[in-house]
Parts: sequence; C-alpha cells; structure tokens
Amino acid sequence: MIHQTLPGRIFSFVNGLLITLFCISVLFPFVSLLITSFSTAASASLGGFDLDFSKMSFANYSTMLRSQYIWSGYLNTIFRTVVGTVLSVLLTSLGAYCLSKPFFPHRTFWMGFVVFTMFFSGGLIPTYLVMCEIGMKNSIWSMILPCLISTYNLVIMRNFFQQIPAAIEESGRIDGAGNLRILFSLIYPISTPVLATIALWVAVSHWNAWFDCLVYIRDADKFVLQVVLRRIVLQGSTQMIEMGVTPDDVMSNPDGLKAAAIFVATLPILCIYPFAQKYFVKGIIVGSLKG
Amino acid sequence: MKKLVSIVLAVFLLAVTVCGCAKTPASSQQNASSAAAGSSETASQPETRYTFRIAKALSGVPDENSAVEVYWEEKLNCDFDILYLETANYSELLNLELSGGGDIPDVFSCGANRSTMVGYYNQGYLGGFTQEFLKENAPLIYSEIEEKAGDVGFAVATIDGLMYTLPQINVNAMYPAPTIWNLDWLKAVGFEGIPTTLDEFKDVLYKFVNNDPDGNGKKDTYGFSSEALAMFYGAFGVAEDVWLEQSDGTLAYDIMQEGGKDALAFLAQMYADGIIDPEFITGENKGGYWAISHSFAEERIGLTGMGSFYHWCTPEAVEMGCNAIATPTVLAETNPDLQFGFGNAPVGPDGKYGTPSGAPAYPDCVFSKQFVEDEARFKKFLSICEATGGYNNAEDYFVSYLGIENEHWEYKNEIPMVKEEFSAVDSYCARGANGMLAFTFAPEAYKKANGARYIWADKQYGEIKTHGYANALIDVLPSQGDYLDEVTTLLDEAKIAIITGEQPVSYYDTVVEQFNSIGGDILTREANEIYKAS
Amino acid sequence: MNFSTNIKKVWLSSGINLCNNEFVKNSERMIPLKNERTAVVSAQPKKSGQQYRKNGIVRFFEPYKKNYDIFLLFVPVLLWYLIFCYLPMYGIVIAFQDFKLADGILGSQWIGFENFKKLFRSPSFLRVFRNSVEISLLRIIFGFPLPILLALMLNEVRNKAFKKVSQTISYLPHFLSWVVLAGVFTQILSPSTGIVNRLLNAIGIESIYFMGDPQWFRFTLIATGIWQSVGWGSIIYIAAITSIDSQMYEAAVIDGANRFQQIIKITLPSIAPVITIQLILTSGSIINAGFDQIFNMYNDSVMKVSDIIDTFVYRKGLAEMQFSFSTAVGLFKNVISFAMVIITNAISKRVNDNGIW
Repeated sequence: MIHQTLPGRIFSFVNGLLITLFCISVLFPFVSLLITSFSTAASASLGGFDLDFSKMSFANYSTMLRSQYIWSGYLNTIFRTVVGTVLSVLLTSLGAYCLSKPFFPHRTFWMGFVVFTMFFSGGLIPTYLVMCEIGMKNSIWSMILPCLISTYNLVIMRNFFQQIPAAIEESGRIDGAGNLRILFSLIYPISTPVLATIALWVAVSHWNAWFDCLVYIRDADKFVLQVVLRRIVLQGSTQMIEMGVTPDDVMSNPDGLKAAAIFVATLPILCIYPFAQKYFVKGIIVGSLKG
Repeated sequence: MKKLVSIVLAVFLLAVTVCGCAKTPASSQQNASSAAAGSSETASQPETRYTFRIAKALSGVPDENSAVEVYWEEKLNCDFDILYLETANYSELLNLELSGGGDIPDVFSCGANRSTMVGYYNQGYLGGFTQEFLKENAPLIYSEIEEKAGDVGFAVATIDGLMYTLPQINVNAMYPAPTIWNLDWLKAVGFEGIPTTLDEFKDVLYKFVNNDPDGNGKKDTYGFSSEALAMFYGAFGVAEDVWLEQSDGTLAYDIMQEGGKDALAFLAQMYADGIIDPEFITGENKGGYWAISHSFAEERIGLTGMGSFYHWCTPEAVEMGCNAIATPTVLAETNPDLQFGFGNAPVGPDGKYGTPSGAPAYPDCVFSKQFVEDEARFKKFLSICEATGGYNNAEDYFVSYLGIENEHWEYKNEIPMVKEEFSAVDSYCARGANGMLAFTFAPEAYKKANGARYIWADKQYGEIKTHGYANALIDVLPSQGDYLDEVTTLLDEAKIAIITGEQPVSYYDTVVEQFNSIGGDILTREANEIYKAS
Repeated sequence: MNFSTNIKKVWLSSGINLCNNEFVKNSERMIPLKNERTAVVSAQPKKSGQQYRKNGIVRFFEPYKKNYDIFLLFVPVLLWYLIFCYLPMYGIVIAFQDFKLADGILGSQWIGFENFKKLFRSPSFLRVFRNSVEISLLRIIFGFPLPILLALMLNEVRNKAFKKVSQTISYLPHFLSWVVLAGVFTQILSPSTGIVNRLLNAIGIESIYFMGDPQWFRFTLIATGIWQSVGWGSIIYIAAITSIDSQMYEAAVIDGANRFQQIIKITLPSIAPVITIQLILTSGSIINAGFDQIFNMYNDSVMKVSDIIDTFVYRKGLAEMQFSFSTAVGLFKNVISFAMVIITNAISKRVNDNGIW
C-alpha cells in the first residue's frame, strides 16, 4: 500500500463521502417507502417518517398477503420468468449458432431478415390481431412466445459464438457429431458467461414486464405480479378521474398499502440481485453495447 | 438421428404455438339465444334467457359469481358475461377488444365522453335507436331525461338523428361549483350574513386584505386566489374553457364572450390592489388530493371556489354522516376551529351570476350494432337497465351500487350504510357493486344511495342562489385537435398577463385579433354551425 | 497490454455492428437473386462452372441443399420471426389508409400520403416531436457525464469492500421496473406527504409538485432517469478503467503527479475512445425518449411537456382510435431512428478509424 499524502487523504475522504451520499440517495427512497409500508393509514397520510416501532403495523402487509391476486400474480410471474427464460435462451442460442456459421446458406440475407425487425414492427393492433388469431389471447403463453427472441441478444450471442475457435468444433465434427450436438455439448459449456448473462437479462425483463399481460390477458387470475401491483398503485389516481368516473366513485388506496405492495413485488429482486450482480457486470462487458 | 432431432426442434415452436389454439366457443350460447329470439315467439313459451356481454370500466376484479351479479341474474332471468377491463387503461383495452380479437361486447362505455362515442360511431361499431323506441321500451328512463335534462339530454346521445347511448343525468351538475367563505374572517371584518352582489364582495375582500382578519398583526392575507376567479368571470356572464350563447344567439368561447374585457378589467384592478393572491398562477392546491385548497386551509385567502360541493362537507354534513374529504380533512388536522360556509356567486352589474357546472347529461353506455339489431334481446336489456338503475325503485339501485342489503350494507337512520368490512374499493368491485351492472341510474336513486351527502347538499343549495354555466356546445369541433391547444395557451397567458398588469386591459383587443389568427375564428365558425344545426 | 485495442476488440466483436452493415446491403435487394456474395461466404468447395450456369432457381437453392441440416436448425427461429415479427407487419399499410376497424384492411380506403401530410401540419405532432428530442437531449447533457464521473470516483476508492458495496447499491435501480419506480417516486415526491418535500419544508422551501407541475416535471423525469441508470451506465467505464496499464500510474507517481492529475492525464485520455463510442451510440437513439418511464409517470397536467412520440402513438392509436394516423407517426419514427443508426455508424467510422462496426 502506497503511503498517502495529506491531500491524498483529503481527496479519499471527500470522494468516499460523495459516494456514500450517492448510495444513500439510491437507498433512501426504499427506506422511506419501507417505513411508509409499516405505517397505519392515518399516520401515512400525515407523512409519518418517524421510526416509532411502537406504532409499527403489519396491517398493510397482511392485507396485501391476503389478496389472492398477489399470490396468483407471483405464481404467474415465476412461471413466465422460468419457462420464458429457458425457452428464450434455447431458441436464441439456436438462432445465434446458425447465424454464426459461415457456411449457413445466404447468411447475410438471413442476418438482415433478423435485424430488420429491430427497426420496423407492425404496431400494436396488428400484432394483437395476429396473437388472437393464433389463439394466444388470455393465454399465459402470450407473455412467453412473443418475447422468446430478442434480436439484440441474438446478435450478441452470435458474436460470442463467432469468436470460438473453429478447432473446438472440428474435433466434434470428426467424431461425427451433428450441429445440435455440437451446440449442446461443445459450444454451451464454453459459453456460460454469455448464456448466463442473457438468461439473467431475459429473466429480469420477464419479471418486470407488464405491458403484454395488460394487453393480452383478461382473466384476473392470470395476471402477473406487475399488473396486480400497477392496479393497486394506480387505483384512484388522476387518470381515472379523467376517464369520466365521477370523482366520488374514485377511491384511492392508502399510501401504506401501495408501499407494501411495491415491497412485496420487489423483494425477490432485492434478495437475488446482490448474488446475480457479477453476471450482469460480466455480461455488460460481453455485450458492451447495452447501456 | 441428428436429422430427426433437427426436425423435432423445427416443429417445436409450431407445437407450442398451436397448444394455446383451442378457440373457446364463447359466443355459441349467445348466438343460439339470439337465433331463438329471431324466430317468432309465442306468448305461452317461457321467456328466453339471454346472455349479455358487458365490458365496463372496473377499478377492481369482480368475483366469478359476484353477489350482485347473481342477484340480478336470478331476479331478471338473464346472464351477464362480464369482461374485466381495468379503469386505468379502459379505453385502450376496449379498443383492442373491438378491433376484432374476440367477441365484440354488447354493452360498453364511452367513458362519459361524447367524442369517444362519436369515434366508435365513425368506426361503425354502434347501434342506434330512435327516441320513440326508447320511450316505448324504457319509459322511465325516457321521462327522467325529459324532465331533468330536456333537449340537451337527448342531444348528447344523438348522432344524425339516432340515439346511441342512454344519456346519464349528471347528478352533480345540479350543484354548480361552490362559493366558500371563511366565516371567521367575515365576522372579523364585521359583515353580517353572506355577501351577494359584486360590490359587497369587493367591500369584504378589500377588508380581508387590509383589516387583518386572522388577527395575527401581519398583513399576510389575500382575498382569493385561482379557484375563485370563475365566480367573478361568472358575474360578467363569462365562463372559462366553454362555449356560451351570447345575446345575439351565437356561441362565443372563454373570454371572447361579451363580458370578457370587463371581467379582466375588474380582476386586474383587484390584483393591482393586492386582493388576489400573487400565487394564483400556481394555484391553491399544493399537491395531494387535487381538490384540497391549501391556501384556504392555511388562512392565506378567505374565499374560494375549489372543487365541488362534496369537497366541502360542513360540520353539519359530517354530523349527518358524510365523509369529509379534501380541504375539511386538512382543516380538521391543522385548523379545526376555522368556520367555513357556502355562499352565493357574486351578482354582477347586469345581474349575471354563476359558477361553472358540468353538462346536465352525458353519454355513457353504448351498444354494439349487432346487439341493437337483435331487437328482442335489446328490448330486454333496456328493461334490465331500468331495473338495475333504480328507475322502478330506488332500492334496486342500492343493490347495484352498494351490494346486498344486510349482507353488505344496512339502514342507519333510513340511510343505507356500507358495513365497515365491505368498504374497501376491492371489496366493492369483488361483490359486483359500485355500479358494475347499473348502465344508467335514476338521479334520485343515486342521491339516496349516497346517503347524507345529497340530503345535505339539497339543503345547502336550497338556501343559496346558484346558477351553473355549462358548455352550450356538446360536440367536439372538427378542428379542435388542430387549434384548441394553441388557443387555450394564448388565452391562458393573456388572462394572466392582463390580470397581473403585465399588459394593460387594452391588450385584450390584441388578444382577440390573435385568437382569430391562430384558428379561433375557425373554431368559432364550426361551433356556431354545429350549434345552429342541432 | 494496450487498453484501447482491448476495448475495441470488445466493440468489434459485439452485436449490432456487423448486422446493420449487412442489412444495409441487403435492403437494396431483399431477395438476393444474385447471391454470389453469400455463395462466396459459404465454406463449401466451389462448384464447376457448368453447374453454375444451370438455371437460377436451382443455383439459388444450392446452398440450402448442401447445408440443409443447419438450416433445419434455423427453421424454428425463422418461424418465430415470421409469426411474431413479419406477420404483423401487414399493419404498416394502414398508415396509407383511412383505416376503419369495422372495414378491415382490405375494405378501408386508400389515401396515399395523406396521413403524413396531416402529420407535418399537426401542431400536436410537432410538439411531441420537439418534446422527444428535447427530453433526449436533456438526458444526454445531464445523464451522459455522470456515469463517467461515478466510475472515476469509484476507481479512486481504495477500500475494496466499500467499493464493492457501493457498486452493488448503484446498480440496483436498474433492475426495478418503472411500474415500481413510478410508484416509489409518486410517494416520496408527493407535495403533502412525500419525504422529499417534507425535507424541503424543513429547510424553509415550499413544497414542489414534482410530478404535477409542468415546470418541474422534466426535471423529475431526467433526475429519476439518471438516478435509475447512472450506476449501470458506469460499469462500462469501470471495466475500461480496470484495463488501463498500472505501470502508467506508477510512472506518474514517480513523476510526482497527484491523484487528480492522474485522473486528468492518464485515466480520462485512456477511456476517451469508450466515451466517444458511448456518446455516438447514445445520440443514435435520440428519438427514443423513454416510453416506459414516461408512460408510468406522466399525467394530464404535465402532458404538454412530457408527451413523446411513443406515448402519443399509444394514446392516439389505442385510446383515440386514430389508427392510421398513429401508424403513420410510428412509421415516421422508425424511419428516423433507422436513419439515425446509419448516420451514427458513419460518424463513428470517421471518428474511430474503424467505426463501431
């Protein structure tokens, strides 16, 4: 360790202080919200921000956890995240592998075919109609199938595959392995960084997705957590008054309940995140474009 | 082997795609029943049990067989197929439904918005019927509209001669925006009773500023702020953001109305004399619920017109069982001793007075073309509307609005009160109450279902002289989207500039010119054409 | 050893680049009847001249016959793209129609470029266009330098544990949805009960209606946007800084440079290429002002300053049933963003010898 000079020490101190302040500013909203979530309706409306443990109430959480839609929302979210991520990584890697091979027929054209979709899409209503036509409406698959491939991820994976020395594959081919075998038993094991990263990206986007569910799903017991949460948070907001609902018909949920709902929906991410974090960091260096 | 695997994988996606494909024959029952309706029925046959597909904006999820739904299905011998579309994104979700991704609902809502209704009409979704048809098949609804809203009531529902909605009487429009006084201040400046004329208002307001009505020894009080401006415009026969009929029978918009210049001159004088709170530009509300007047609650001003009457539950109302919302709740916490009360809107030099009010009726539930063409089914539905909306009997509406008697609510002092455990939004929605199956409601039934609020309001408004300025134009102008934003910005800025003295009152004439040059003339022409035609 | 080549390798290897280039070439002829190019790419031994002169169709399918096994593997991906991306693209044509849902695409009237003419005359479109660009610019001006600053600051932290913890904390908001974040901010920024305003009140500042005052809303948008992304954005710079040769610092210390001088003289110049690339990339997406955030945070009172192209398309298209018009707006946006990518590509080629692809 290099001995620090006095200005150096001041520099370190100020720097550390600023970073600490920044971290506090990141955590602050959550802490404040956490406290609100433990408050009673009355004290929350007064903006109670005092850590008075005697006044702490689990009422909001018990209300939250009694709501059936929170639980079904959890199950649906977990289902779409797990199944969606597995299928997505499979299909994406398949596409990426094919397009990474120089002998793939008309590769340039097919690459263009894939990338074109990053810029042009049919719009919401035609997409919706197609989805209904193939029977996806009100089906949990409507939240998994349309987002199986993200072209961006596919391209990143393709580039990773391209960097793999051809020699690795060659040994497999000499043994008579087909493309699929090569992909699974030779490419996969040495591609864990990119696979893990993309799996995590997909998983997070599945966990946070709500728009597709809002659009395709009508049965409340098929709603994902984010949609349930959104409804709780939005209930009684100005948007609804604009809808022409007479104001007295609009009842808003107490802040404490909203805060509790936010925590219930976010907790898994908060728990898993610190452990998964290093993969994200690795991933961003692999992908290096996603900012 | 490897070929096989490849093929299996190739088929994989198709398989997954197809697995959700089993289309549900949802509409079969409905079709069968409508077919039955089409064939000639004999009187001896039992009444056909129809299914109605309803898409209403709901702020919570209704139970599969909610208590209210079951109640009405049994009582009215019909089935409701409820499509849950959440309120916050109702119009978008409904439009997706209408786009053809499923069965088009029989009944849906245009969100109290006539332009939305016209939009559906233009897209070819709506079924229309004549006034006579309504009179024949829903006589109670018809007479209610005729009595409470008159021609306007039918006009809001009519496009090219046919009605497309059951116009809903706007109960709250019967009570124009309130005029609220700080009674302590009135007493402190020695005014007996409640001011009525513009001169009396002026007198009292100047004293509010100069005579230290809150008695703290500081000159930190004002007469009024943003929310009382409307009543002063009203004293000159002007109403903001709406079209009003002028003395020559034409329509004019906002301060382009006849008294516009005088009203601005009056307000500019008030501002110059320090009567208007300089913070009126940012408003009286400092956040939270929109109808809270923090300026009034903090005794910065002594007169306001914030919100609607029900935002100002007096202690008397609270005693009767009304929930205090908005400013009174803030007052209860911060300034419980402050006395406030309802007053008259100031009567202007030409005897004009009034505050803004909503339209007497608005469009709400609309019907799909196929549904209206299926006449027997539609007739049955109209009778259902009369029943669930409390037109036959107010208590019917209590079911639609509150739930089942003694289970979800009970009478207290002859007022229906919801039990504590059923008072949450989600609970209302889960049991199918909160009007899920009321497609229109009788105003009197609605007032009774809301308990003490309207009993008290009728009393309040019975004692004071009120008049509401409602928009004389019920339609959306063709060029509104192109010009209205800019016009509104111009007028808003001009009003502030003149009131604050940044521009002299004579600037008004320049504003008139500018108004016409940025599309105001087009809007005015269109408004008058539509107005004359109707 | 040399950091900048390292990074460049990462860039070159990554994504988008190759494909865009290829796409441009292909867009000129979507059906590559003359497929010499692709045939050359193929690793197969060349056919004899006679076979080449066989008819075009046979020649076209030659590579597929030769490599059917890998193409079969691609079929699920191909089907997916066809069903979920290309099939709905028929919807683009309604931009050139006076589309009515009840009439369908086949029955609706064709009106050519009428919708696009309307678009350029419409003050509300010009407003959302301006909003989109302004909000993006503000995001770049204020949001771009901060991740660099954070990375530099984190790099100066000597305590490993502290560094790790603060990094972890700083990435956190990136993983929460805007549904959640909008809920969080609505509460803490509430003028009456929100903690931020209560703190402001405590030091004698009046409550600010962050989410409802048009004058403050953009500030709120930008600030919360930065709050959400600054930590995540710093990762790339931290990675770049770590790969700087430590000998350079040792030499600088011997020369008596203090830490601030080291940052200015060594760190910043070393990561300059990454900064350039990031800046170019960011400017490429200038027309995307952030739908998810704004959609979850905006409300009617701040519509004027926060309505962007995407929210406009959503509202007009779905809520107001102006299907054709909104499709035209969306198409216009797609074309612009596509053009922006091409332009930024060209610029970066000029700035960094090879460009980013």
